[in-house]
Amino acid sequence: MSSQTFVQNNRVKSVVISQPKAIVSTNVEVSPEQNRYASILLVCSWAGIIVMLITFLLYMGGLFNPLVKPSDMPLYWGLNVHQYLQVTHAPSGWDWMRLINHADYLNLVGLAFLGIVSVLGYISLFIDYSRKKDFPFLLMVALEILVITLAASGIFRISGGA
Amino acid sequence: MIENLFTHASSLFIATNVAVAQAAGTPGVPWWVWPLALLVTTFLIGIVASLAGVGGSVLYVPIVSSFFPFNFDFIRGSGLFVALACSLSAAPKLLKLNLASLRLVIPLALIASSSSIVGAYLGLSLPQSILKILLGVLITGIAVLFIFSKNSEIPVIGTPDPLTRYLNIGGAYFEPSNGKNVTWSVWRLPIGLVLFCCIGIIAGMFGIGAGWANVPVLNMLLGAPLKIAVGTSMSLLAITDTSAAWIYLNQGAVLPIITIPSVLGIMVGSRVGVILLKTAKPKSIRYIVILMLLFAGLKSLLAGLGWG
Repeated sequence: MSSQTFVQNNRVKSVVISQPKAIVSTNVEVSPEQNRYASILLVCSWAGIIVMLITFLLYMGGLFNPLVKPSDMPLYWGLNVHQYLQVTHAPSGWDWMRLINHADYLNLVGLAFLGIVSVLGYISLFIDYSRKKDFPFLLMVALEILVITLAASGIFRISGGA
Repeated sequence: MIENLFTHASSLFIATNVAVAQAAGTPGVPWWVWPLALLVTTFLIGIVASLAGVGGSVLYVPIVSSFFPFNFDFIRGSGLFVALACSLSAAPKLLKLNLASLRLVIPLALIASSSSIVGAYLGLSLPQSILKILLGVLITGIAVLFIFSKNSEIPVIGTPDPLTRYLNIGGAYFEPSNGKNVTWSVWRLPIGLVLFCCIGIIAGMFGIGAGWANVPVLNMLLGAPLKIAVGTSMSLLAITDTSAAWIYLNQGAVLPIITIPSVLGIMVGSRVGVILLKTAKPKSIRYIVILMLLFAGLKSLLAGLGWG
């Protein structure tokens, strides 16, 4: 049994058997919410990548007084993350925000921005699904925002070292 | 010509890795060699990955952990950002072309991103030797999956399940090869949700994008047309990897000196790969990727066992 159908010249032609009527939309136009979500991803991800590139060049150029100079990194990058945090006294969670006047932590701004791009897109979806009163998707979008926010909040900490 | 170019690229890739491996044992190597070598390596990974139709991070994590002196924690943290950046750059176009469906992405992403947090926890808690053994087994398994998997352009599906009907999942896209619109839906969504839970754990644990698993599940199990499966997988990764990436970032396991050259290299490389794709022979490239995966998987396995 197949559910694939083809549409040509406004005439629907079933390829094998029938397509369940309740599900299929033959409209190939992108929904407005999907279009808006895609635009947000496009603009914000490029913004994040440009910020990342600029801050990285500043770091590699030795500008903005990095706490750990790039030339010293070979001493630390072989350590596991728990040892690295102990040796360099690097902050965990969002504490790095207090150090963004140093080039190495300024680099995290672009990376963190990439990490919130999806949330920005989901906020627009939340608004669209609220307007459409599409409650199942409204609930799932709200839960996803919650999941990413919890992950980003830093409340999930892993102590000790393996 | 393209084949020659690809052969040169492969030789350069191998030469770079040999040079990197030699430099790793040489304490006098200037520090800047590493980010530069990483940029070149990830650029080549980006070309190979896009020619072979795989996500970059599935090659990135095993190859970089095999040849570079960075700790496995930082490589996995970078791997997630590599996958995230690739996904964010590809997803908008796929969504705008209706080759990815948000109505399919949203439920699967919710499950996968929640479970990727669990995976990130496991990845940062387990001993690295265990992780390397598991990664070795996983990467070798992916290589075998690539050998035997047979995707279906437009799968034949049965009656969609009640959950698919309730969520109204389905759509249509324009197929330029025959000038027709293809309408589609999926079935067996509940089983797919369970599998996406496992996929999320693996993605978070090893810092690899999970396109290698997403596409077969979407295409072969759920019955989405191949183009929809690829587009939806790419859009899913932007969300799945975000949760796990935050866990690594908050834990301090993301070093810009490793992550940023990797992201930039792979993004530029994948764009070059897309240009070369028009004239390259994907089948021969696929075999090279399978060999690279087998090599990297076995190397990781041996390193985990203390034999490498």
